Amino acid sequence: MDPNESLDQGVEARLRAAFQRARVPASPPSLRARIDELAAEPARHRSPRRPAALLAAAAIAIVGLTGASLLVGSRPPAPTPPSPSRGPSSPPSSSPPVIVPWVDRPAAQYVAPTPVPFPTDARPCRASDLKVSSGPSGTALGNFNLRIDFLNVSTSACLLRGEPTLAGVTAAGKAVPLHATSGGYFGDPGPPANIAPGERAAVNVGGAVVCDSTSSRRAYEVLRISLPNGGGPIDLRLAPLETPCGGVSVSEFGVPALAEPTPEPSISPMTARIDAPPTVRAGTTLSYTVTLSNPSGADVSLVPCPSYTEAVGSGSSSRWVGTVRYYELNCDTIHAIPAGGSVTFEMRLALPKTQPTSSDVKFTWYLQGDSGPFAGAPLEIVSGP
Amino acid sequence: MMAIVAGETEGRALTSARERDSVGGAWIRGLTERDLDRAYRLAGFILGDATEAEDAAQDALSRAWQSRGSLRDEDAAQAWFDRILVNLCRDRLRRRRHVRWLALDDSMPASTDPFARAIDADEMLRGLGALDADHRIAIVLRYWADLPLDSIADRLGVPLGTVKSRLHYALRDLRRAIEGPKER
Repeated sequence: MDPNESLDQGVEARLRAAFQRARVPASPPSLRARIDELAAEPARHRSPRRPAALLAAAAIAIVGLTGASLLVGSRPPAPTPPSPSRGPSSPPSSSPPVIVPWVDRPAAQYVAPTPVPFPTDARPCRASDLKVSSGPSGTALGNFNLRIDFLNVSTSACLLRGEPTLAGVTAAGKAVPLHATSGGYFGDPGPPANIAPGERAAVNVGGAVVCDSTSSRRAYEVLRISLPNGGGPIDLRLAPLETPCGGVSVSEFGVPALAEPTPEPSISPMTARIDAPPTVRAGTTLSYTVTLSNPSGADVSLVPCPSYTEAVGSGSSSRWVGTVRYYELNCDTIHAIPAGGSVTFEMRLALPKTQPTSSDVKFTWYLQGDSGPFAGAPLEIVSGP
Repeated sequence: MMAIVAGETEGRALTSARERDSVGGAWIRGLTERDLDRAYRLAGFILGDATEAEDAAQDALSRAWQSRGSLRDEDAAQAWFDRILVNLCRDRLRRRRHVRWLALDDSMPASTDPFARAIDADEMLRGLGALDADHRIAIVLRYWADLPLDSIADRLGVPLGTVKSRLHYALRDLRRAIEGPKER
């Protein structure tokens, strides 16, 4: 036996013991609060490729990528609160039933309304139609982003769609392909759409700013952007562009002015609370209640009747079983949650016999996808009957 | 209609974007206090600093939430989140450029940071300060989080052999740090 191997085993055992002995604190309440805060944000983005809010929310350090005065992205406007909506037959606040019975009315999974697409029927833009300039740039969470703007200086609308190809131009005039990867941390600058004369489209060029010591970078003073659909090359002078470690990424073209998504479901002012037994047997039906409370000053309509999701997950990383069901709420007699009031609904969730027993179960309930209130509760799953 | 029943089909990949969004979103929302403690302590042992651990865990939650649509399968959720957290910790360590939680000199005033204090108080853990970021992360994932080697490789995005190599050299360096000049 390698003497070092036995020495390593000794160190391993001592390490495990040391970690077990170490007295370290539990997580601070800010982590739970962060989850609540994230879950309460409306889904601003139709695509996970466009986390512009993250760029804005993060502490942004301005970097001298262009040598120009750089603009830091601003946080999108706060979501519009839901309009006070009153159901046509809202019950008086004083007479809700004690518990609204469960109804076996399975629903399709909630799907947010599809945004209306912007027109994309104009001719493809050519390099001669466009004036290119560097736009806002910044870094967030170890990634930099440089937006490149394309102003339509022609007399008719044109369309930039897809991704450009990029090359760095050396001082000797040689174009060196940058082999940019598609996408990037900051996603697209906006949806694709026709660009009217005098309007702008853009792409995001990015990469990682955190490099290890072995990463190499090259600096170019001219970025050559070749437009899709045979639109030709167009050069942008920079001062200078340092290629990031790990390569360059490029987004698809989009129109930043249209980046604000079409209205998605407003975040609900309601909160939800689960009251459930501490244990349930696998293979039986979990009966519990959910209380929806409305702390706002306006009734929240249940017309049309919303659907809800209930989910129980248990097991280990090697064998995880999630039971997820979608149902309609029982709105037969309740058409609104009154201002300042609450309504309790009976819930049922049939668990399969294969649901693993566990004392650390993920048990969640939420109304109408990400925009609705949600709740979680502790639950232990014990062996079936 | 019942849109999805994952109960009897463990590990089933969810296909539509909306389903993926719900899987990731539901998983994050369903994180228990125990899960959060684990994330915070994992970051704390890697970074050796409670404030930085809290920041890293917060950033990881934000990053995970932003990319929740990329989680296709709940089986992979813990590894997915760990990967985000560990990457953020590694970025912090590399930006830091030096190890802040190494306190070999007994004359130094005791830290008030709970992670730094716990690490300083133990000879074995104190030796971790001699390791570089990748080696320290490998040690914490293996001997604190008690993960098998292939799970560590998955979280770090490196081949299994690289994990073995990092652990081997990390243990060697630890041994030297603990045993001092007589080994050198």
